[in-house]
Amino acid sequence: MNEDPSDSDAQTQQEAVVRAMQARADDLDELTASRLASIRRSAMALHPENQPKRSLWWPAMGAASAAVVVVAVLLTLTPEQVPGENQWPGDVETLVLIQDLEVIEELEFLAWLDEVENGAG
Amino acid sequence: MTQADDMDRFLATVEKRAYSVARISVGNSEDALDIVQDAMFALVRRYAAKPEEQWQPLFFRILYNRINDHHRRHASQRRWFSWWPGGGEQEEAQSWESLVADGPTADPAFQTAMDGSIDALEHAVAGLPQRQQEAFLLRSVQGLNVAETAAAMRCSEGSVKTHYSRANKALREQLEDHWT
Repeated sequence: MNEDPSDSDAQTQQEAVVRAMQARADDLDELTASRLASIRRSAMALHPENQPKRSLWWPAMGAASAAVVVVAVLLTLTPEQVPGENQWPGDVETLVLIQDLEVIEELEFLAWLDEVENGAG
Repeated sequence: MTQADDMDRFLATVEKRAYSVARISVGNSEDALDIVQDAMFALVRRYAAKPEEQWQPLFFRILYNRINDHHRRHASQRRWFSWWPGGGEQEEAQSWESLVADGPTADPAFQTAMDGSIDALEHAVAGLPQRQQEAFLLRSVQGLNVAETAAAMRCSEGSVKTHYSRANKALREQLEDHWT
């Protein structure tokens, strides 16, 4: 596409314009320059390197406290209450107990049947 | 020297011209300061870890995004107020570019400063179409080369040359008395 003006006068004028605009931009009044510097300082306060370092002490304390609570809970539970592998024997015992009750009921039924038959005989 | 020191030095080198670019574009000193602040905050927050050579195009990309947001907000506000009785019925037909051109006249401080050819030039620049203005200000005020301007504008170097050339042509035509 078309590049800048071909004639050298126009080029010179254009360069003069650019210099003038840059000079004005660099020659700011003190108040504005001071406000810009203040804005820059505020921005730099957000830089990750200028952020206060996060202490590792508090996360470590939290993890240690949680571990202590877990250990305390495990120690206070009775073996029957501790879930996991002990759950299986407990279930077996319950099943055995239920089977025992059925046997007892059967014996009682037989005893009653005997009485009925003897009574009838 | 830490990366924070490098970024502080970078911002110190660009802050005045960035402010000037924003002031010429939006025509208001306070808004220009707000825009520069937003751009600095965004660069430091989001891109501090980027390599230093990327800071300049990123910063000016952010700056111009903020400037464009400003123009959109003002154009939108003008549209809304045009619904009120006497709320600028004649402005409804105005183009976005002409709304931008009206910007500087709204600021009394800017009007007071309009006393020479460089002021007339700044006023004319404010009236350029957005992309031409962007190319002109980044090339002339900020002093970026074609490649740096293309990176900041996210377009090809050819487009930058076209926009810049058209901007210069338009400004010469408008400012014939001052330009010669």
